[in-house]
Amino acid sequence: MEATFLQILWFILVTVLFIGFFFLEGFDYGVGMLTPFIGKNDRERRVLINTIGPHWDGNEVWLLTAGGASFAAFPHFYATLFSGFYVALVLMLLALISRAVVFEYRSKNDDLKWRKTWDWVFFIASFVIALLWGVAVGNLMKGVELTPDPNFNGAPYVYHHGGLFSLLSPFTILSGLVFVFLFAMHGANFIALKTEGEILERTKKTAWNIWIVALVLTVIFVVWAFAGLDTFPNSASIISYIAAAIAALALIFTGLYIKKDDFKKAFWAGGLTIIFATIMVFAGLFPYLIPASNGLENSITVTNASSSEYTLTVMSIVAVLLVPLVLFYQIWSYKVFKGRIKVDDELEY
Amino acid sequence: MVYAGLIMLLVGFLALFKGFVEKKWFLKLAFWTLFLPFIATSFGWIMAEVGRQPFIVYGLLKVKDAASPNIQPSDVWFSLLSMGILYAILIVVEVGLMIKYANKIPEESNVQPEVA
Repeated sequence: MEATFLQILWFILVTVLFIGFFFLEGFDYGVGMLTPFIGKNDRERRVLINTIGPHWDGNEVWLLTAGGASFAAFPHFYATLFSGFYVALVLMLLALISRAVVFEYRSKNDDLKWRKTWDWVFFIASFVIALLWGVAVGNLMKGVELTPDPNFNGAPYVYHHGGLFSLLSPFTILSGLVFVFLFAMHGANFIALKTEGEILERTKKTAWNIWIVALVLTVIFVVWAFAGLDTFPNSASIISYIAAAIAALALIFTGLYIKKDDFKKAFWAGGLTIIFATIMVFAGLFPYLIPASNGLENSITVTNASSSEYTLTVMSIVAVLLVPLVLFYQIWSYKVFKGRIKVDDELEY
Repeated sequence: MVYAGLIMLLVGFLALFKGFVEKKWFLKLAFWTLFLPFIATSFGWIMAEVGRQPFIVYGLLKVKDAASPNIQPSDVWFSLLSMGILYAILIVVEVGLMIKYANKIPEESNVQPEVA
C-alpha cells in the first residue's frame, strides 16, 4: 500500500522532532557524562551543571513531542515500540526522573558527600539515557522479531516478545556507544562555549580525545549499517546515503575546528553531524518504522501503523499553529542565557 | 475530595478579611489546611481510577482488552517496584530538604533558636 502525503509528512515531522531532541538533549547528556571528568571540585561541577541548568527542561520537551507525535500519528508504532522495549524504557524513565531531580536538589545542601552523590547520579543517568537511545535506534535499524497479536487477525497489531537482553547485540551496543560519544563530543563543544579559565582548558583537551573515539566508532557504525544490515536502508536509501556523507563531512570538520580552538564552529559542525546522522537513520528506515527481522512482511510500516487521515489533518493544523511559538521562546531562552559562566558567579542550580 | 476543596476555598476566602487573619485560632486552622491539597488530589485520582474499572476508556474499552499481550508479569513487577522505590527515596529526600529549610531562621529576624 502506498503511503499518503500526510503519512509521509508526519514521518518527516517525527524525524524532525527526533532531530531536535538529539541535537538539544545531546549536549545536555554530554555535559552530564563529562561533569565528573571536567569538573575537578565541587564548585567546578556546579558551574558545569549550570551551563545547561536553564535549558535542559526545554530540551527534554522535544523528547516528549517526538514520543507524543509518534503516538498520535503512528499509534501502532508507539504501541509496539513502547510495549516491546518495556524494561529498557522503564530504565530510561528512572534515569530521566533521577536526572531531573539532580538539577533541583544537588546544590540545596552544603554537605559535600550529598553533592558528590548527586553528581554521580547525574553522570550515570545521562550515560544510561544516551546509551539506551543508541541501543533503541540500533534495534530499529536492525529490526526485531515481530509476531502478530493472537487476539487480532494479522497486522498491524504486531508485538515484540523478547526481553531486555534480546535488544543487546554487537550492532546495537555499538550504536549505543556511538550515541554516547557523539553526545559527549557535542556536550564538550557546548561546555567550551559556556565556561572560561581552567574548566575551558580542560574541556578543549577532552573534546579532542572524545572526537577521535567518536570518529572511529561512527565510521564503523555507518559502514556496518549500510553494508551489514539487510533491513537497512530501504526505499529512501538515496537520501540516507547523502545524509551519511554530509554527517561524515561534518564530523571531520568538527575535529578540525576543535583542533583550531574554534568551538563555535565545532559546536555547529558537531550539531550538523548529529542532525544528518538522524536523517540518515530515519531515511534509511522509511517506509518501515520497525522492520521485522523475521521477514519484512511482518514489519510495522508507515501505512499500517498510522492514524486516520482526519487525525493527521488535525495534527498538521495544530502543529503549524503552535510549533513556531515553541521555537520562538526556546530560541529566546538561549539568547537570554547567552554568556559564559565564571567560576565565582552566583549560581542558580 | 470535594469537602477538602471547599474547605480550602473557604479558608482562603476568609483569609482576605483582617478580622480573621488576626485571630490566632484562624491561623492555626489555616496551618492544618496545608495537608488538604495532597488529600484532595489523592482522593480525586483514586476515585477516577477505581471508579472507571473495569473500563480503561469508560463504557468503550475494557482494561483486559487494552493490555499489551507481550508484557510479562515480571516486567510489570520490575517497573512497579523500581518506580516505587525511587519515589520512596525521593520523598524522604524531599521532606528532609523541606524540614531543613523550614527550620532555617531568616537572617533579618531576631528570633532566638529554641534550645533543644
